[in-house]
Amino acid sequence: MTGVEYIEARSVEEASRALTEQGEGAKLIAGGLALIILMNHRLLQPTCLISIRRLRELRYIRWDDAAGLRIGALTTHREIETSRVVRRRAPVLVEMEGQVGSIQVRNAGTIGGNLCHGDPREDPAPALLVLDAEVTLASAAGARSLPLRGFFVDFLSTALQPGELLTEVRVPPLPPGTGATYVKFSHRNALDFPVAGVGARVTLDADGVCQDARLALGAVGPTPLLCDEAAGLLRGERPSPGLLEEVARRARALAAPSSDVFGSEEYKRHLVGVLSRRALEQAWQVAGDGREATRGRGRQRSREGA
Amino acid sequence: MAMASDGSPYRVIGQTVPDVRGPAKTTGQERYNIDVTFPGMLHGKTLRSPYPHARVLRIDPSEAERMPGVIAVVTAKDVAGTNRFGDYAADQPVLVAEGETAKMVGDPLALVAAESEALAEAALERIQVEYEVLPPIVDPEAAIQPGAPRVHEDRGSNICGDPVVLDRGDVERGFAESDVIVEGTYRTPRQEHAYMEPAAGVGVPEPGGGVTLYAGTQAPMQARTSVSRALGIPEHRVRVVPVPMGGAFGGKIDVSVHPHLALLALKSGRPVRMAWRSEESFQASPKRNPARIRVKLGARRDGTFVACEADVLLNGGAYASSSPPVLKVACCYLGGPYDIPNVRIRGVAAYTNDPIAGAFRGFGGPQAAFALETTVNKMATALGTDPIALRLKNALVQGRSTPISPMLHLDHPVTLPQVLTRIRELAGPKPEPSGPRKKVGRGVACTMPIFDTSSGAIYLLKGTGANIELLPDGTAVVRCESAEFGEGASTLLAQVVAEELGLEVKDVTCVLGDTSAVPKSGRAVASRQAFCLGNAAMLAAHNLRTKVFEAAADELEAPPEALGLAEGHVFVRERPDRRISLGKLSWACRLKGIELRGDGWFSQPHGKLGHTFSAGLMDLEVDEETGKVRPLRSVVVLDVGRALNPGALRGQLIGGEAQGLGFALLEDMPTEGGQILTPSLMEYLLPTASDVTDETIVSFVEEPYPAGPYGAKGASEHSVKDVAPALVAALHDALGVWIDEIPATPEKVWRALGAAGRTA
Ligand SMILES: Cc1cc2nc3c(=O)[nH]c(=O)nc-3n(C[C@H](O)[C@H](O)[C@H](O)COP(=O)(O)OP(=O)(O)OC[C@H]3O[C@@H](n4cnc5c(N)ncnc54)[C@H](O)[C@@H]3O)c2cc1C
Repeated sequence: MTGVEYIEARSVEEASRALTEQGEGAKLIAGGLALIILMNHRLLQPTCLISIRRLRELRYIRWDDAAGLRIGALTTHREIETSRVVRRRAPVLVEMEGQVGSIQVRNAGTIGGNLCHGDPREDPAPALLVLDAEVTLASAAGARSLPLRGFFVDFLSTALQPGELLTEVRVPPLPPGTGATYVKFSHRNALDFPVAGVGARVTLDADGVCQDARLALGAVGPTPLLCDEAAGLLRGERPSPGLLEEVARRARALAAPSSDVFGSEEYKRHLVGVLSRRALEQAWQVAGDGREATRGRGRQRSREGA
Repeated sequence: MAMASDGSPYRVIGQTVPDVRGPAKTTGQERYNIDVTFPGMLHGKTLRSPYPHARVLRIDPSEAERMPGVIAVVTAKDVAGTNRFGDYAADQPVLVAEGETAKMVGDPLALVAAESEALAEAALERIQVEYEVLPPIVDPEAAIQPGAPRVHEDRGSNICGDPVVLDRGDVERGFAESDVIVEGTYRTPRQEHAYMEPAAGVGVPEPGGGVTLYAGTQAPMQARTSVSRALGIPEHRVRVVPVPMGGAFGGKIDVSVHPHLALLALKSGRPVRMAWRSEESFQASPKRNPARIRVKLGARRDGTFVACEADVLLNGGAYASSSPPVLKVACCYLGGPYDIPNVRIRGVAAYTNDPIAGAFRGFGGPQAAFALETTVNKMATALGTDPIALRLKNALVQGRSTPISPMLHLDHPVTLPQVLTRIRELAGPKPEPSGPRKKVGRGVACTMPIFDTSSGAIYLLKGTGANIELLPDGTAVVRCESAEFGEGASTLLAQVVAEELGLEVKDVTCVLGDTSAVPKSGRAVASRQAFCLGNAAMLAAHNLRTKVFEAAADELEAPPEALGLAEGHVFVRERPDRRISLGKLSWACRLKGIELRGDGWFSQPHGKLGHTFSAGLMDLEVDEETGKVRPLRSVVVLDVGRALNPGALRGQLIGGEAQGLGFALLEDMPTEGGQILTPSLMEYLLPTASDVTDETIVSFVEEPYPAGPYGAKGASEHSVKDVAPALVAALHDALGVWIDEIPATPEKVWRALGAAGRTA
């Protein structure tokens, strides 16, 4: 690790310019959690690190009636987990963040770094995907907005163009009668990436019939996976064990996990089925509860979602 | 002597005394191995074989040697001695030489000392090595077959150490007489010690060709001998100063950085620091031996055990390390704490090109206990009896010889019935499941753990020395070999000395391990420190006390027999106001030329290993869809003879249980073709605080052991062993399936349910 140049950017524009000027070998660094591990294992040997840690303007959580929940890219996992605004507007994110790594990891890691790392084994993506989140990507040339579902391209690869930074994550206001949840399976109850993680969201009408639903899988493919077809089966339906089982079956089929020391492909597929069913059951219940009670209940759930 | 308020005859012993090094540790002031620095220090790095089996054809360090800032490059050519170490077979190279084979991933080939760590690392990449890659020998079953390709070309076979053969009675007849026979084949994982501080230290060249090694070890004197022999340096020129270690658990008995530090320091002429990365430690340090154990147990319908047959195969990895004695101990455990008339036990350890294995807290016991106790639990199920009642029925009783092991004899209290009764009393109600897809279960196990009694039953441990000196300020210094790695030897020694000399714990200073300053006390292993060091320190204190009384007799004008020691003073027992402080007495003795120093040497040359009894109970909840286990509550009962420091002991037992839970549920270091599949702490799953039981109840049976200091027995390893069999029995209680291969990962549980036709 000799001779790495270190630049501290003072604005998004400066960071973007530095990225372009330094070319191939340049890497942005936020919390550094993902990056430093890659560097320690020599999987990545950047010649220049451009730190964006000082960009206070990218560290915020705001609510805006039109745009919804706006989270700056440099916001830490812990800030999201403990935010009252998030708890009120998108409690599933609180639930999800509480399961990331450990408190130390959550204090250091940023949401931007997490998404831009492009590792499918991370927790935030499935939860954000089911909320139809969008991201803003900015460079010295300007900014563009992209649905998160278009952001993940392949393993460790995202839609970021050279010179671009992720500056904001947005969660549009959720329709009334919406419940969302994230369930994670990992071997240990702290520090572990998910072996499988499932985000689910259900929006019910006044009669308890499903108007809209999303299901997203983490850690079981080259990117986080949205199961639109499977979730689509729920539209116009009321919950029944058979229906949820069928959706879970399709999610299982869509998953493309690989065998490793944490589990075989077969077992991971099985987990996807179990977690999908549980996530949908819970989301359905939260949505039902939400129609009666006031909005914004953040329920803490344990890892396997029970 | 004044009695403590709790009725104990002791003032300090039996009290919970905080770790004397605790304040330094918790405030970050303790200096561990990685904190040691010397002016002008270089940084050392090791070039390691990436192959599990390869002939090293050529090592060319010339390019690395020419790099500016690289001060020394060392290969086997620089090694003057045997270039081998190992306590049971000197079969491990300090550095693999050209023409020899590397036998495991991580085998060291060359060393570099440079001005910076980065430079040393860069230099490693410039050392050219030509290998002839050989097919790795990785299946221990195949390896021990006659004619199998050999790991060590100079050995006749891959059998490591002597196979174990233990027989009692006639097992064939025993099985013929049995109404119920239960059989199983069990597998246990390669467990990594994963201490927080991997091997590290600084080697400092001394004038005259000597070297001082500031580097932690559980066996300072042995490290001195190993370095001396392997490198051909006279023993008196090697000094080992064991710096406090961030954990050891048996993984720091063998030398690690020590010979490498000596080589680099001597060649460069400057102090050299080395600190293994944890990934490096994963490769190079010995692990818990993976075991395959078959057990067959026969019983009468009334539950009486009639015959037991067991067969153990340990994967020893590339070098012997402690595998031979680990095998013996495992076989000894397979006799169980039971009175079984017909027993046949066979054991073999195999050399393979897998990572080296050897000593780890429990030393063969956890593997054997899992196999035997799971079989006993299956027997209870087969007979439809309560597992505690079945154990009580077969438990050893006083007066019987040991089950089968020549290492043991039952000359001291047999407390298994008390231990089992206690665990039944503490069991409490079984918890309720927390949700619809959850099941709860309870399991128990018991074992007869062993510990060293300075008896010579374990290699190199015969005899334990300690000495105590009184300083003119009235405090005492106690010196012995030993080492600090969190187990609390210093605190224990301070307690003993304070108790015996009427001092406070804070008035006792411990000097541990510096081979130039301490008497030989043997290795800090085998749950022996409280027992052996305690006895040695007691003897030293008694000898010192005699001298103190003789010296004080003059000053106090009373015969030595009439004197007592308390509150830092010698006093006349009949007239406690006539007294002299130990400080004053010490000064007076200096002027008179009297030495106030006591030596203690504790040895039982013809003794056997000590033993005790333990039991564990585990309540758990399991998710019947994912197979994931949540340990809920456990009970640990151990006969400790006497709890010398109940708080510290409780900590040891809870820590041991956490390690046992890792072994039972999470930890494994599988290999493929000799390559480690969990090469770092990102993949190797060590339990976190959120993965252990919510509650652990620790209870001591205190039946004083006559040979122990104040009646104490060795205790610190014992709670590791009962966890896996208790947990697997609890899983069976919850789900009705047996897991014969641990760790009991969620996937294995799910597969077992699938095999039983129990999954959706
Ligand atoms: C022990 C441990 C446990 C963990 N457990 C979990 C877990 O359970 N769940 C989980 O989801 N994650 C886990 N992580 C991962 C970690 O939480 C995330 O990777 C973290 O959020 C990364 O954020 P960072 O700020 O540290 O990213 P960095 O390491 O700084 O950056 C990561 C990547 O993103 C790029 N980047 C960073 N910010 C931006 C930006 N604004 N725009 C464009 N590119 C950017 C960097 O160039 C780099 O390529 C764990 C990590 C560790 C070390």
